[in-house]
Amino acid sequence: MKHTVSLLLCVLLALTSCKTMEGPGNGIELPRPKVALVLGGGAARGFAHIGVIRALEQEKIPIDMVVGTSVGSLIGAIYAADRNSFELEWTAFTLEKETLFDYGIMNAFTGMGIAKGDKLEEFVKSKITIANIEGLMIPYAAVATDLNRGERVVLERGSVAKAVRASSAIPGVFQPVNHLGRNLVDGGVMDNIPVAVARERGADLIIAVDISENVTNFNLTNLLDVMLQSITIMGAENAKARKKDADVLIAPAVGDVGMLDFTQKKRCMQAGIEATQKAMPEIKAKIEEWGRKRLAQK
Amino acid sequence: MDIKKILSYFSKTKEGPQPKIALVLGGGSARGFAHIGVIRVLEKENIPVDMIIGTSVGSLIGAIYAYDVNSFELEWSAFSLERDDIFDYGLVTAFTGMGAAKGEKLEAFVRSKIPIENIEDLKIPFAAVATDLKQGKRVVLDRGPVARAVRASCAIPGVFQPVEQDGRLLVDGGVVDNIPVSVARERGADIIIAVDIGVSIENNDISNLFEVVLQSIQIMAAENVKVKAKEADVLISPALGKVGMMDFSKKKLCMQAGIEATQKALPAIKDKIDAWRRS
Repeated sequence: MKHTVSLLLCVLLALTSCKTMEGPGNGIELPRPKVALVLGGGAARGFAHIGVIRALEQEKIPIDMVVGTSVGSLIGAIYAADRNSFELEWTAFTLEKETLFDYGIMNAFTGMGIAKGDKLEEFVKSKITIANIEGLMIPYAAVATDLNRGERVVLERGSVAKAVRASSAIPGVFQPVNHLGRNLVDGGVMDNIPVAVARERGADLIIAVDISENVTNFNLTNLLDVMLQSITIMGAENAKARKKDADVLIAPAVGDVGMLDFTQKKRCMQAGIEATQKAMPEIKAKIEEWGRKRLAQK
Repeated sequence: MDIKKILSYFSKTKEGPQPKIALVLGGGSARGFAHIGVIRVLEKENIPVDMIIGTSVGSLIGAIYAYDVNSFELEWSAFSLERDDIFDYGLVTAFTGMGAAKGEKLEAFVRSKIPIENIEDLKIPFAAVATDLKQGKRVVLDRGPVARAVRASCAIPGVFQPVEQDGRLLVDGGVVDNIPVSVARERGADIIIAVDIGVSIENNDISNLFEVVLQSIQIMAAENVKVKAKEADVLISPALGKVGMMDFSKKKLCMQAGIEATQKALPAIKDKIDAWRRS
């Protein structure tokens, strides 16, 4: 019985996600664009991404591809695994800073980052039972940085957990990740809002979520604080230029939430929902516009 | 008014209106010796420089030149400059303070080269770009003590301690804008010549937390430049290859590269000036 129900659900899902959309009122089905959701970096502010996904789901905006940097790769992977924004919310509700950060003061002196990142990888494995990116329900890519060469690395195959861990390895906070013969750190070093990656992979319409704005921090006391704040500022500068290339930019009002503040998750999600609702008319108009143009070309 | 100024006044009126030309000098530590070669060629070709905007090492070279508009003096300052003249490293400062080097030596060096106090008194209008670390904002230093401004603009995060000023913590301008073309534009420049000395990114010798973060900062600065350099009217990119950011032994090579790149850019510069005059 359970199997029949899930089979039915699958068929239903397949039908609803069929690549056509009804044109308003005229009965002609408009072709629909390949929609990419690009989730930017910004550590704990990333809870806002969950609100965005919830609102997109509610309005039945299809998501054909998810590309994420840093926390965007984490949230994106969990969603890409089973398209279930409720699970995502529950995960967020139970998530604490300690679930992800395996800090150790000694690591700072003996290693290449304060936190190892093992915990983060374990967390991803516990949430996503699919081992490889190829097995995810939605095509997905995480963006990381090759630290030695200063190159953008797009992780779109192989271990999901490793990819998320590498993409989230904020320099100085997490240790770099040895993966695919490279030393990888946070994708935000090269591209904090990877609109370009989605474009290169054939997205027709890119919805990007920016959580990098406002980097004010008055609590700087040591060398590491100085360097990390510099990196945060640089990540925001990087995003400024890149987010312009998105078709629709959603910028939840999370500017006053600290990058490592896990106490504001509900508010961040709320901000994500609100910003997405505000962007909804634009999203729908652009989807329709794309469809009409495509129809006219035929 | 000296005779040179009177002569240049007449030559200007003879040729009609002159565009306001800005020289924008980017960051890149020891690769900055290339800026000196660029200035040498511009001076030789009588390209007037009406404004200098610099980030990091660009602010250092720019300030010295803006003081007495003498590329010969600048060259000789560079010839004798050693790493230890600028970096006052201390192992202890790394743990007790907010940077490995204090920056006092750098400030003293600037004072020894520029015997006047304030930016307002430099011969060529000058501005140094720094970053307000707490607020993550660009700060344009165009007034007040020259040496302090240069020190702040050069304060590479983690390498130099931030500079406290008016309650702000200032670090290297490269954190927000490593090639400040936009500053020149905001100040009314008609033609902007920008010098990108880039960074040598590849580094296979990263073994501790400090190096991880520093390398990340350099990669990010290079990405930032890719976007901002496009706004220049003429971009000069000396071929510096793999000269390391802290390698003071390649200064002659850097200057030579600056000279060659500028010679190559001369036709473009002259075209831009002509086009401005015609419009």
